[in-house]
Amino acid sequence: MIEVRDLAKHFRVHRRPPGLRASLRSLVRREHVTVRAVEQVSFTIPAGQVVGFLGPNGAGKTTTLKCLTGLLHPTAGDVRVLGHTPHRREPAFLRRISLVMGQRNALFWDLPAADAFEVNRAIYGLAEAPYRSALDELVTLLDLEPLLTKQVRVLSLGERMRCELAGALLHRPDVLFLDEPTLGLDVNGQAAVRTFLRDYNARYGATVLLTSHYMGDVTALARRVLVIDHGTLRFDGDLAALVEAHSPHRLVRVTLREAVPAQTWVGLGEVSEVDGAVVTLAVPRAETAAVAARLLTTLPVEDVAIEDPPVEDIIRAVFAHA
Amino acid sequence: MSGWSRHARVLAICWRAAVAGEVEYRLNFFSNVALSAFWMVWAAAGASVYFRFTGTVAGWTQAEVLVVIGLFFTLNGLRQALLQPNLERMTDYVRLGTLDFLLTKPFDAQLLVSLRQVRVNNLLDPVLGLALTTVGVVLSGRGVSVVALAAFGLLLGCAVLLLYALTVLLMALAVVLVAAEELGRVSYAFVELSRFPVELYRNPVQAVLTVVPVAFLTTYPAAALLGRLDPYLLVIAPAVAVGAVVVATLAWRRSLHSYSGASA
Ligand SMILES: Nc1ncnc2c1ncn2[C@@H]1O[C@H](COP(=O)(O)OP(=O)(O)OP(=O)(O)O)[C@@H](O)[C@H]1O
Ligand SMILES: [Mg+2]
Repeated sequence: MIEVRDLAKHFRVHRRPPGLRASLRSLVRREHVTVRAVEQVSFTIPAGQVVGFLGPNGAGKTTTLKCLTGLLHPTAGDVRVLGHTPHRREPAFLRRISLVMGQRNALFWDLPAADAFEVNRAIYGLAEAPYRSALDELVTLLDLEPLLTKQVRVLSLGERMRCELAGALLHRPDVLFLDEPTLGLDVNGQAAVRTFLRDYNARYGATVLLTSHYMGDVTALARRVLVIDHGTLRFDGDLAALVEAHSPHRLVRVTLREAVPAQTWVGLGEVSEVDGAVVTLAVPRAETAAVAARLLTTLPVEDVAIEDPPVEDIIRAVFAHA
Repeated sequence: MSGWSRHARVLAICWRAAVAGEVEYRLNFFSNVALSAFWMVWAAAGASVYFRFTGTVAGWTQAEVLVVIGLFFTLNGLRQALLQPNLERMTDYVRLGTLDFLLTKPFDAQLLVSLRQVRVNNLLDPVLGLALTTVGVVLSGRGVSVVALAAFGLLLGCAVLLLYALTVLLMALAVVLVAAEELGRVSYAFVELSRFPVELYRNPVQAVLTVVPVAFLTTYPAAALLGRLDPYLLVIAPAVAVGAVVVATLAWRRSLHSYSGASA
């Protein structure tokens, strides 16, 4: 479905030194530097899978997505999506994909949302019946009814994002590329987008590659993650495996009925946080069950919860190791 | 749906929305039409200065110059109504990333970015211009044969294509330079030179305007209408127009190729 082999994308940028004299000189003797945005990236994604694409700012996520959608010509390597070479931008390929970017606009700002959808309908040459049913479904799922007559320009960020998603999915793409689709949305907005994307994937079996700096997006949608840093792939596999590999500890959260002396915890685990009656212990993965049982039997415990550390922390650990 | 009808439908939706958006500002529209009419009459009256002591200037009578001025307003109106608003958006398309999305659609991006906007307020300007041209023809006292009319149609079509090609060329530049608000002035300056017949300019300038193809905008179509066109231009003008569109399209493709997308 998506096959990437040894993908590299370098940008040649003209370096403009500070200072008037230096910049005048650079007009004559242009200095170029090569930015290696993506280097030696390989992965394959089978049909229907949702994959989270993680990495810090400037890691090369957007660049990779642009190579996969045909916006950029790869400097080296092979990219095949749905059997096509993206940068050839064949209509048969473009008809089956969609790209949504949280910080960019796909819809024309000066048109009301309903007209913007009509434009998309005409662009994809959709017949009336499938268009209507797709639109009705999207309007219901994304709660767009009140937005349709408003100009895209005046919509709030969250409203616009819902419209962008609808516009991107009217033609029911088989492969969906999402670049920070929940950027800047409030908690409700993020939840709405996540639920919607999960439903869309379940309903149509679409392949989804998603970048986000909100771990909630990734944990809610993707079982598999790709982690990229400085343009190279650092991890490709199950989110659970990533968690296990990079966090030897789990968190045991104890809610106490009454205070206990600090030395109680010695030998049980490392205290990572004390918040009133709630004490959080970092416990080696293999011992969590035993420790929890001991806590319950020996201490005035109201509640014990076991959880993995936040994925943010784990990702940070991945990059720290690298 | 075939490619052509798909593209036509998309533009129709965009234009319909533009007209619908302006209907609220009817007063604006009519005052704009009145203003355009005023400037046209002003220009026509101003031209009479040259004819105070003489019946012809460089072989053009006053009535014939009116034909050219009318065509100038026709083309300038088309430029303002159809080309300029699209050119102005180009920088935004690049900066806001809209161009990225257009390029991920199964659609001709050049057509969409170059034609999707209309400035409704200037849509009537070409009609006003053609009215002045008609007045000029009537005043000149020349009959217009069917052949002359057909030749005129052909040359006017070529002029429109040339203008379109220039716009696409400037849009290609806008993609590369990103900050390109100034580019709109270039197309204005180009059309502005066609306000009078090129013969009215001094000789070296005249030669340049023929090569740069300003003469193809108004002088040659007017000559065709007045039945005094060199017949070889019936071949040259389409060749120049088509050549210009081809060159502009190649430049556009080239600019997209080097376009690496504004980094997020
Ligand atoms: N058009 C460009 N010209 C030059 N350098 C670029 C260009 N686009 C991206 N880069 C550089 O390539 C690197 C990767 O950028 P990219 O946008 O892919 O990062 P990202 O992982 O999407 O980051 P973020 O999380 O901040 O969106 C960065 O160093 C960036 O500055
Ligand atoms: Mg990015």
